[in-house]
Amino acid sequence: MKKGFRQSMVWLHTWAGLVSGWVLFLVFLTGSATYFKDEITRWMQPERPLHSQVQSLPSTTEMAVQGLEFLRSHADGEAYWVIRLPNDGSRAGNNGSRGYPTDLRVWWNQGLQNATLDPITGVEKLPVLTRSTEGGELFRGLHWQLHYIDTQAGMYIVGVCSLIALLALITGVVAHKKIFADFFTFRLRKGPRSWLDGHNVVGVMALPFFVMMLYTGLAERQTYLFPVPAKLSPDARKPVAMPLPEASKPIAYADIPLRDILSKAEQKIGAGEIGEIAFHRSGVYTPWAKARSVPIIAVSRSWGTQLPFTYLDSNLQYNALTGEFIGGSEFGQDPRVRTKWWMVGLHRAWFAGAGLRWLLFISGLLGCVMIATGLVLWSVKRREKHIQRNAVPFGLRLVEWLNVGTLVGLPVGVAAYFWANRLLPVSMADRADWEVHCLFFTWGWLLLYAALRPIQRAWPEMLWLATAAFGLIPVLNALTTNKHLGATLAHGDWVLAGVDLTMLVLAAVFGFAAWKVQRKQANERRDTSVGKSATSTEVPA
Amino acid sequence: MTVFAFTESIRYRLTVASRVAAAAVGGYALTSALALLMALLWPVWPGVEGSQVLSFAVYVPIVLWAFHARSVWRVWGWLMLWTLLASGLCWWLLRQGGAA
Repeated sequence: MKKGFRQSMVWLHTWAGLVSGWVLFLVFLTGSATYFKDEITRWMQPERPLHSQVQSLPSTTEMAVQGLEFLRSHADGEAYWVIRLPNDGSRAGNNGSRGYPTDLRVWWNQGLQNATLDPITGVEKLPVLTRSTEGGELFRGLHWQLHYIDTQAGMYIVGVCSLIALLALITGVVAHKKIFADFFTFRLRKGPRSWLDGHNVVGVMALPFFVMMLYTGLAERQTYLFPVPAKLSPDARKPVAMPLPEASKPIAYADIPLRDILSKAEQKIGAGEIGEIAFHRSGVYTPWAKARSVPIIAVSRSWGTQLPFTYLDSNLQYNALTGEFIGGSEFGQDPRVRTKWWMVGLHRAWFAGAGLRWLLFISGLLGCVMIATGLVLWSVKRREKHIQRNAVPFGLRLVEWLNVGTLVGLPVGVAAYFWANRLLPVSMADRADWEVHCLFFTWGWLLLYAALRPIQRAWPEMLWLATAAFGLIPVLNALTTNKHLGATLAHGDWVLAGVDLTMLVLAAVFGFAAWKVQRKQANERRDTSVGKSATSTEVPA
Repeated sequence: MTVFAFTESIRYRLTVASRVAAAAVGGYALTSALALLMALLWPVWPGVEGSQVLSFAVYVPIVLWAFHARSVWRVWGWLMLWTLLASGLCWWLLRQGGAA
């Protein structure tokens, strides 16, 4: 529509960025936090004991037998049992235990009841009572479904904005003329030019990561965003035949050659690799496994030990009567669905150890910086045009308000969520919900504040507020719990200490930004008062 | 003069709105038709799941083109033409599959 291809792409980039920018800021922020959701959850449950030296665990078979004994005495009539073996926390682990040793747990009653057992004696342990909190799971929910609105609607909003963001990313690359030379260009103190350089450098630094995350994120939701092939192709329209053989009486515990099966399984997948043992004592009828009418023992790995990291991957099935190997699970193995599960695994970084997750976390925050610099760049460029006029267009005022209100307001909201976790009374009703309300209330109040304050004042004030909000969290932690930096560093619990230290680093980042903004504004005021033009941003050396 | 400028501005905005609609709705329709076609022509790979994954890679260039093409009429025209062709082919393939 404009003269050249590049100009059209710049136009599209600007508008796609503006439309999706603030939502994407939230998505990138919460997504980055989600990489450490289990660690954050643990930080938000200070009642849980410190990470101590893992006691040496007995062998797989002994622990499985302990679990089986417990199940036999408590749930003998049940057809479905699960035993989850403990691991030392170095793996993604089963269900929220990264960085923390897991317990020996058993499930019965179709998974509705469970118990935690001591791995050596097999006696039931009482779980630690922790305060009611959503923990890091809030960030995961926020990331793809937003909050307060219908989850499907939230998913579609995030999906559409991500699609627009993909457009913004591609057009950004296309519009960037000297993409290699510009990587080494950073002109300070030149107003919009500096913002553009910052936006470009950050954008290019983690470009592969951004493309991958946007694309794989969209791929996870492909059935919702592009449903036509699934709905109209003949494969999909054929009903899935689910044979339902007669459920036989559950076989007796004593008849199961458990040690034999476990040793065979360990030969196949390696010693110590078994994560979960499921007993289908009358046969299997679940949709994701082939229906089998014989009693089955299904042995699987811990989650996160092998791509495509579906938790039923390398699920080995043995006949529970004879101990004979029947086959593996087919879930995620079909070449047609494999690509999608690879993408899901990539997006969620199931394979990533702590080091790689830190890298992904920082890359995600770089995404936030890229979005923020882009939005601020837009408003700074427009501001320059209107510096002489009194009537500022509504669009510019809206963008400036949303910028300070969201780019600073939302992080402060996140800090408020952590503050609420420490300050809300433990016995409060709906405590978990109120922690989340605190996040949104804080963000809302800051949006109101930003609307009432002149934008020039709002930026440094809110940046200093963010500095205090994050920087004081370790102090608040020390005042309200016994899991503060003094204790966690002394005991080497790096996960808990890491959360506190990250708060300090974030505070430092906001503090630096606040200081720079304040200095720049002071210089501008000084320049105006000695008669220089207000648009000059050159600072004498 | 001001009235003319006003109508020009309205016209410009309608053009933009039209392109957005073309890219969003028309582009989506074309992408869906092409994805279905891919799934029907090659059911094992990419198949249904694969063509859904590839949809995004197809949609983005279509949108880029929609905003670059010289006139809005061209955009609508080509989108409708190609969507019709792709859908027609899909419909014919589905009928074939059903009969067999």
